[in-house]
Amino acid sequence: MSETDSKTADAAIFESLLTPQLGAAYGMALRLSGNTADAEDLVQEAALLAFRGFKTFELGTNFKAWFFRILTNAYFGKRRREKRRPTSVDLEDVPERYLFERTAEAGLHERSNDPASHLVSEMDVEQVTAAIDALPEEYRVVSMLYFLEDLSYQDIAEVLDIPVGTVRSRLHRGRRMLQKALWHIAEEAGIISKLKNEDAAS
Amino acid sequence: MTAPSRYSCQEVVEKLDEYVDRALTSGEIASVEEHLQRCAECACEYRFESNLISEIRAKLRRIDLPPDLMSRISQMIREECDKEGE
Repeated sequence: MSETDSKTADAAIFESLLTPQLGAAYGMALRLSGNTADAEDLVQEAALLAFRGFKTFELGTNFKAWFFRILTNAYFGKRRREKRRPTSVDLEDVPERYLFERTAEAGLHERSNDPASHLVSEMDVEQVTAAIDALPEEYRVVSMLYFLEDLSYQDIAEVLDIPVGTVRSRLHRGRRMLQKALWHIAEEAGIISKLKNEDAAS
Repeated sequence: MTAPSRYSCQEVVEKLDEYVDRALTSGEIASVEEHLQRCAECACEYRFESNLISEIRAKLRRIDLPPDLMSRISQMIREECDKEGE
């Protein structure tokens, strides 16, 4: 087989592996970059980098984790050139059960048998994304992989090239931070008041 | 078969994330489940955390893939192959 034929065969295999992951990759890129144009650029850049490095991929291993690692590295490369906007929410030392306690104090547990879903269903996608975006970078990316891709701790560790224990602790802390950010955004948007009034009216 | 060890509420709260994610050992799962069966408050919190994660996931995953993105990538890869063949 000539070198060109071999490259064409590699391209066919690469595309057959990438196609089922493209929706997930684009979703991740969109949530990371925040807009469709940057997300498309990021996925295309990652696809080209991945194809160029495809000979390092071992067929039969986890293509999704391998590709997402390239995607997140490409994102980090771009991100280093930009400044993160500071969040207005203090996310230090958020206690356990944060959202459970806040929703209970607001009386949302008394009239809804599923207050968590009730609260988040009242928020739009931009508000939920903004809550994740408020997290410090190392917590934000782990949370994105967790919430968007349903990856195991082991897969997230592989994507980010960090120990599984670090994934575990960042996710644990990141979830508490996310709960506080969600509550803060819902309060500012008047969603909590609305839910309280709805409850009172029902 | 040994009975699961009895966890306190604090121990369950600390392990709840990993229980939701099915990332505990079978022994730990048995101990958490034993606690959830006898503690209504922790069972309520477990449902809360689990539903919260499902709802956030459902909300974030509603994304439309640009219809021509894969064809643009395919074109890029063809050009890459052509470049290397030159």
